[in-house]
Amino acid sequence: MIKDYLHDLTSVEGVEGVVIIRKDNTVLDSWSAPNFNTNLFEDVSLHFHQIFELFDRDDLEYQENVVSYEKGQVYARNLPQFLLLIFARFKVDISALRLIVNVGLAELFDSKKMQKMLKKIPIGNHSVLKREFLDDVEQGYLAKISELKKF
Amino acid sequence: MVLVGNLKDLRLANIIQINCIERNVAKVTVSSVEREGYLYFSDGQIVHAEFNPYIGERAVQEMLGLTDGQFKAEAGIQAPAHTITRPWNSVVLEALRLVDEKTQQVTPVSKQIFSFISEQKGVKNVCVLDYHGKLIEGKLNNKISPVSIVFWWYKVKKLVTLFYTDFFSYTYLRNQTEYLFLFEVRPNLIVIETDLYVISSEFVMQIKKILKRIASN
Repeated sequence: MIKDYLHDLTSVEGVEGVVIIRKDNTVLDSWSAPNFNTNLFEDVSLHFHQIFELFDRDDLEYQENVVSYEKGQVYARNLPQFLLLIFARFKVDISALRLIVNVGLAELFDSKKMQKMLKKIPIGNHSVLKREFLDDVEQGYLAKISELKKF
Repeated sequence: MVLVGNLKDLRLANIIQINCIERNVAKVTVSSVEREGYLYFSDGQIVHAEFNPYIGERAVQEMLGLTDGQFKAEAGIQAPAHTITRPWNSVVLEALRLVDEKTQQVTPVSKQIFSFISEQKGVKNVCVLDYHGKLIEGKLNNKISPVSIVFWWYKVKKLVTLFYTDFFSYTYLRNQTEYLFLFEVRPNLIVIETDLYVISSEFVMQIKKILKRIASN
């Protein structure tokens, strides 16, 4: 998928990793620059799945989350079938990445071959906000959110 | 092997992270002017900590509050007890949050910051939250729960601390109608909703400038 539809991303200077992850947090496809630690993919994506799922519960429908830290940034794109993550250095322009992603995804969803394949992927969140995936602090926040919703 | 250094050069949080990520069996001794503390590592976790009179997580929390002192890391030393069961990153994050709350005066972000940000082009709402999701100042879109924002901040911070040995800078969400920016200004969080006409990178620079300017006054 990445090779066929998001290849341009992999040639942007400073992009170090691209991964497409199903909602059940299993990798569908990935690409990474040499020496990039791909073991991180599923661990990182779980955090993003949880963030999007929480906001989806309130119908806020956030499609993107950008996280910036001192040396780099992670761009997360939430789609019904999967999550797209891009790991990039700090200098990479997110607006440019967004454009490439938009074009690539439009082609991907237009492709008959991909439509067939995507039909097999379940749509929607996979309840990644279960207790076993959360630490005590996170569970505390979620309990507070549920409590506040009662009022 | 023994590694000795100063906490000013290498932060205790980083020492913990290195030992956990490398799954070292090790003992780290931390000496401040008055006291000495010990951290034990095994299987990628902190398994035990002592910092008189505390043991376990509270000891980690107290040690992370030290800004000065020496450390000594010794490989191959087994823990004499098992007092910590939570994952190391949760222990450290929670401890750092508590240290922040203790050391920094919990006062609302100044009115000045608030009004500067509100005046920026494209800004729809601004609010200031504490780490518990309590709304200190301003307002938010009714649909967004302040506690959800704090959950988001916690997740992002955990992600950055855990995987990148780095400091969280900022984060933002985007949907069809708006951006939701989140900045940490210890011990508060500033949340800004804007329309989609803002250019995210420029907007972030602008806000950072405002925050820096006010911090230096």
